[in-house]
Amino acid sequence: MILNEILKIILYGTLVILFVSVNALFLVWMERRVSARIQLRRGPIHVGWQGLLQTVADAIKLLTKELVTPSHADKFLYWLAPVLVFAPAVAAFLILPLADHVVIRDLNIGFLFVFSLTNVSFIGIFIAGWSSNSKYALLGSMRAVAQNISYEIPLLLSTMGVVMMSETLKLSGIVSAQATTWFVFPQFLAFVIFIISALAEANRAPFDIPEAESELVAGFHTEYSGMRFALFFLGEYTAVFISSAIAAALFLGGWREPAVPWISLANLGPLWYLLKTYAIVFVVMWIRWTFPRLRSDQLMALAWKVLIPLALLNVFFTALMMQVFEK
Amino acid sequence: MTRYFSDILTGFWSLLVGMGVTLRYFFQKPVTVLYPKERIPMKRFKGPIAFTTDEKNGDHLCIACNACIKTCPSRCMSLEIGKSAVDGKRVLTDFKVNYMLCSLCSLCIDVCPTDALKHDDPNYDMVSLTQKELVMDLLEPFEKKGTPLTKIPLAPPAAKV
Repeated sequence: MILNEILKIILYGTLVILFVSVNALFLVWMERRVSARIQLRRGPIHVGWQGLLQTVADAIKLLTKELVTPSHADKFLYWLAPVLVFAPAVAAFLILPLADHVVIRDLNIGFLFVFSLTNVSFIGIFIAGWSSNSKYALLGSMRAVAQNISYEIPLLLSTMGVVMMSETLKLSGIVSAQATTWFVFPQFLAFVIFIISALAEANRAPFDIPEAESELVAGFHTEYSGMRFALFFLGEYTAVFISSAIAAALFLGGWREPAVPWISLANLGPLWYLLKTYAIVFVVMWIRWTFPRLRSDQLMALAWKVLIPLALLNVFFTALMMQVFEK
Repeated sequence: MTRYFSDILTGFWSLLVGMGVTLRYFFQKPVTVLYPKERIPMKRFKGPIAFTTDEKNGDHLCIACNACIKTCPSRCMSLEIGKSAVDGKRVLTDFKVNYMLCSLCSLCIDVCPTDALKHDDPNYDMVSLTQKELVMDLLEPFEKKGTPLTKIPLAPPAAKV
């Protein structure tokens, strides 16, 4: 029994790490292609089919780079920070429902588990900035923490409407509650708030103030090089994927096929889920290459003056509607 | 209160419009030219000096009148003349342009009575590691093809007095 569990952990762990690496390589390629097309360029097209192997080449280059530790850096924390950023992003794969009953651990607290883990990665980000002994890194990490604390609130409040309607925190339960209609229709406001807050949580443009390259060189990972830098990069892209995957599960019906009669591809569960996730990832990239970066105070104003009141309003309105229509 | 909500709505709408613009660009054709693979005709570009080719017999049109040599402000051109063994007419035996000195002023092209010179505009990828390649022999391609004008037998040079 114990041996069985250990084998399971090793197998799932390997599969998840494999998927995370391939997914990050693909997302970097996708990001470069999307940005290129929006700017009327072509992007990477030479290495491999349509340039797909370009990011593999980049990864190999990163592996060969020297690991520089700045002088007067706190060596242990400096080593620990990339791990703390990367590990929670990987752990979030535990709860993603790929299909009916296909989920590694169907936790009762569901996606709250992921959001609590993402908070661990902010500690990693702060440790990275603190231990680097560089003012740019420290400023970047301070901004990151301030931003993430503000955006945690609208992110969780926006999911409350969904939780109230499905009466469970389990992702599998939420997906099965969307058998008739996806929650994006009754909870459209919550969906928009979720996407905006998820962008800010993942430090993506236009909320990439912690790594604003025009002011802070590269923010909290300024001093990192080689594979440690690559771990931050992997963590960032995995976080984008995880937020999109949870958004797909909460609002777009997870592994359910679109409720259109002429599409009868019932058994393609995981494929539908991946498709929806990558569609949201595309929107995230599309937003990144459309809008300029916000100022720090604008970012705070957006969170506290717009998103949180609207999210509260959404929770109140959902409760009212449920009372009026008796659920 | 209404101001607050209308501000949010108009702000959100403006964001959507912006995303519409980028989406429109996303589906447009990229403007990048993959240069060594793809080539486009260049506008407003002067290539190196070259001989025009006569369409009738594929020959050059130079009559070795020296007009271009005289007018060249940077003195980058030189030609040599031989005497035909058949009818004693002037024959062009060598025509060199030192491209390192040429300022691409086009005066030689304007002055040429037979329109024998032109800018070789499609040749925009000229590059060389040595100076030797930049002293261009304009007659060389015609000699390789063996056009009639290059095959005229030359009279032996007259003895110097």
